[in-house]
Amino acid sequence: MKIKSIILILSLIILNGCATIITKGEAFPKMYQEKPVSILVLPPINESTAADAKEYYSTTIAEPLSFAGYYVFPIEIVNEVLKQEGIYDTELIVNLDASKFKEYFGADAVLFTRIISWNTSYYVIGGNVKVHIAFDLVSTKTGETLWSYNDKLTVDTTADANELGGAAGLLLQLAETAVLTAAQDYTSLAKKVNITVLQTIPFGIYHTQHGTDQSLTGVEEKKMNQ
Amino acid sequence: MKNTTIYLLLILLIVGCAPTPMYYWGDYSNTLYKYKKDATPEMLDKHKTELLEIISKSNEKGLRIPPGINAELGYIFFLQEQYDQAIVYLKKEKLTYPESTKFIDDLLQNLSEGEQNEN
Repeated sequence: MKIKSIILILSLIILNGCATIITKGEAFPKMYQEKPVSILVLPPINESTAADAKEYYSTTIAEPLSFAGYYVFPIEIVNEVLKQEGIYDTELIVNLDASKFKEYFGADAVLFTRIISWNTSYYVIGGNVKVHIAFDLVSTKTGETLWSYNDKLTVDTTADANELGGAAGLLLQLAETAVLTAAQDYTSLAKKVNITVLQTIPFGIYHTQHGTDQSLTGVEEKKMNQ
Repeated sequence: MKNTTIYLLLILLIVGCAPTPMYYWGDYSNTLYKYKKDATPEMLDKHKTELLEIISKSNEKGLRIPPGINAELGYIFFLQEQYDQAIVYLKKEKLTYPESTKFIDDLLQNLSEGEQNEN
């Protein structure tokens, strides 16, 4: 038993060691060349099964993006304009030329966000809530991707069987799991994902470390979108 | 007594070292989320009150108003047909963030056309 745990821990260390961590400068050189000032956040592309994820997610992103030092166009107004132009639907937006957003909004870069999951899963006696979001910042000048990253967060909402008293507590446990799962607030998970992901974006002009953070490390290469 | 002085000095030192936050966003994402969940005039008013609060707290603390806040407030005033106030706040966005000039100018033009059509 002891040996098994040691092997498990060792293999975890090895696996972790394999994740390549690089600096912001190495990961996103184009950000330092172009130095975008303003970011226009496009309506999220919702790949999850939750229809309301798109509307709710967009309430979480302006704040952390501003703290990274960027001017963020007022998302509520931008969405309204895009709706009036008939391009709020993101399938249409993906096909639009990024330079249009320079022409019509004066934006230096557009941020595409993809909600990959915003889900609850139940299994036999447990459950979890998962939020997974991918970000791509695209230059309106060159159409090239300047920064890209994704991350996910899963919260296990399985009720504690020991607490509820063994086999007799199984039904109770199921009920408790359902309650815990339903109580999870997706937007607070999304906010945490935003914070970890945005730690990898080079700081914008309004941040005191703008232009000097190339050597900051912590960018996991495998989390950069392909 | 002496101890108290030392403690006070220590606290001052620690507080003095804490970096000032860049922005004050208050309860922004929460009031906006609630409005999205329940899009009633009451919820919009609550969100508007929060935006006004963010502006006054930011001014108090000597912080720049967060990006988009003045503009969003202006837009809400527009929705509530308070056009003069709408223009005031949209222009404040432009003053705070010159990179929004093109966007705000276009918006002001569209809004004034919209207003004329309504009258």
